[in-house]
Amino acid sequence: MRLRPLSIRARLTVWYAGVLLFILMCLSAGVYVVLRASLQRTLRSQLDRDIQTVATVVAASPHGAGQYGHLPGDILFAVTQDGHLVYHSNAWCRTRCLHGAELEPAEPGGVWRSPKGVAYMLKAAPLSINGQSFAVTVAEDTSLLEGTLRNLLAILMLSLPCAALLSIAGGYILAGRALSPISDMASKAWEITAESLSERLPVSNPNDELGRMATVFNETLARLETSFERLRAFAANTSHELRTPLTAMRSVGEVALRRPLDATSARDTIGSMLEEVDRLTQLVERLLGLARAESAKALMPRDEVDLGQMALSVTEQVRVLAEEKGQELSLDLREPATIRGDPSALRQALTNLIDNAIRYTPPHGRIKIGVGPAPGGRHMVEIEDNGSGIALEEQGRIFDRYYRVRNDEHSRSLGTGLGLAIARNAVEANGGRLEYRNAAAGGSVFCMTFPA
Amino acid sequence: MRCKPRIGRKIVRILLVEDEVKVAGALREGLEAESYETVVANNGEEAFFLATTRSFDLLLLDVMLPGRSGLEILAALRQHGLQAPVLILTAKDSVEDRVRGLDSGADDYLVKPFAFPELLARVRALTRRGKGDQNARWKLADLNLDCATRRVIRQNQEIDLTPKEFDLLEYLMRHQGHTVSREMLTRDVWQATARATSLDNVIDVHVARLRKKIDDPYEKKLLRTIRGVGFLLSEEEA
Repeated sequence: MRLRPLSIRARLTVWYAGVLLFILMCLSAGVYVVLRASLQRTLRSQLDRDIQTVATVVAASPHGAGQYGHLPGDILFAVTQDGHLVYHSNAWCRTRCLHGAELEPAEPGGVWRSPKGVAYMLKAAPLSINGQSFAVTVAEDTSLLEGTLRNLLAILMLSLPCAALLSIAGGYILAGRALSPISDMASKAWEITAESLSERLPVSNPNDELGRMATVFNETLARLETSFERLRAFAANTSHELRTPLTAMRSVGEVALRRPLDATSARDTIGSMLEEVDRLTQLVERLLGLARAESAKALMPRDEVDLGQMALSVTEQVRVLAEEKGQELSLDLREPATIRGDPSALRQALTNLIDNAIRYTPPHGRIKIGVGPAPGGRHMVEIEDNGSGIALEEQGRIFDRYYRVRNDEHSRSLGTGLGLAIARNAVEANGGRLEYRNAAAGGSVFCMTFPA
Repeated sequence: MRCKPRIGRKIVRILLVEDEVKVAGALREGLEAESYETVVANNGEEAFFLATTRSFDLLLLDVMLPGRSGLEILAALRQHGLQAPVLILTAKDSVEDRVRGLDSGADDYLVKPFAFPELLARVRALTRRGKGDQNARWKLADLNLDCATRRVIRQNQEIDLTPKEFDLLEYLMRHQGHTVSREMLTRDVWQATARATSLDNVIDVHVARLRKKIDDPYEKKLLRTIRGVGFLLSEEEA
């Protein structure tokens, strides 16, 4: 079984407490070792001093044990000669505890433990008096030292768990405080829905890490809000556009029912309603096509498309429309241009653009279609007319869905208002660009360019 | 009155599977007006029962049915040995939907909302499938069209048509007596995949020009516009 991954706060706390505890343990161990060494050093220098004292006294009166009486009684010492005890101080055998210690070989570190368990530190030194050699052994009780060390150890052992608990608590609080902006952001973000996209996350300090994150998130929200806004406008426009034919159908039907109908006027009424049905059908089809083109850009076929050939075929197809208006429609194939793309989408785009030109150019106008190279090694199809052009303030919106240029003269022949949006969509989905500019001689130029 | 459509000597029987009562009623009335014998099934189970117990010459099958989908029914019927051609009616028209429909054993599909003349044309095509009526010559009243020489003659007078006008007239002649919708012309005469406003206008211009050539100089008018539906080439006067 695997442990559930811990929260960031818990992980931070564990790390914080762990590191702190490790440092404390190292520090404690260091203090202990240094203190013990220093205490032992003190004890050893005491032993050295004892030996000096004892040696001085022993050397001054090598005979007669009784003369050692003025030696400080509390110094533990024994004098031996050739392995036999010659003299010992009162304290040496006061509790019989050190009895025999002088004869045993000194351990490394010079510690001798009595049968009662008290540890003494011993030090022996040779001593030569009047040609005779003696050995002096002094001892110091280490129980004070050991007691101190034991106390220290006890204090450390008690305080370390406390420190651990404190550091866990502190770490937990600290991590919580550091992370609280994140949970604020999370709960705020949780509240933001499609209806409240205008709200933003709180940014306390835009320059720290969390502030940067909040800023990025807010920018994403802003983009989301714009696209939602556009979608909403599109839906509103769409329902408006659907309403127009529906209203026509309804009023035509209702009015027809109010009067007695003969066969001819009934036919006329039904025919008129069917025309509106046709408008609705086309609108729905185009919307569907638009939605599909947007969602399936990656799935678009990539065939070889000869732009010149396509322009020729589209021009021939719609030529009759220009003829009806007495317009001159000319095609100039300057250079062959072949790109990779979706032929039906591109054909649709081109048809819409040429149809648009015919629609908005007054009778007996001139429309020129040119296919050839564009700067930067690109291919280009240009549709130029000598109509009235598009006013500057309207140029930015002509590719918007449902936008129709204000032009009262031709308002009857207007289409769905989706033609340019569909064209732009198709061109961009095929990696190209569709741009508008005013023609030098007045009139409009729509120019699509594609990478070679 | 036109004689009843027959396969050989038999009357053509159609099973219409459609759950939308209004649509089913309208289609049935329309088909019966064209003298097809039509039986309506409102759901998949009924359709399956009818198709396996009685014989039909054609199935019109709505894909979106309550319960079992039209495609499931179709696959089951084909497994059951159904031979009759099947025309699918669907509101979904993505390429995958079409492929799935044809994979399930459909012979043709029609996307809703469709034009009724279009449905009739498909029904005619499916019920006479395999007969092959590649007529080289068509005649309607005093109007004659020869596909091989691409000549059009009315009242012994040759009429000069552009290639597109000729294609249009040939299509109308082939469907004489039946209404032809703009969708049908878009697809079959202009070979375009999507119907665009501009193409509708193009069709209107060509029809107007054709009418000017084949009808205007003569007393008897043959080419009529059915408002909101399409065009009709027939001898009967409106």
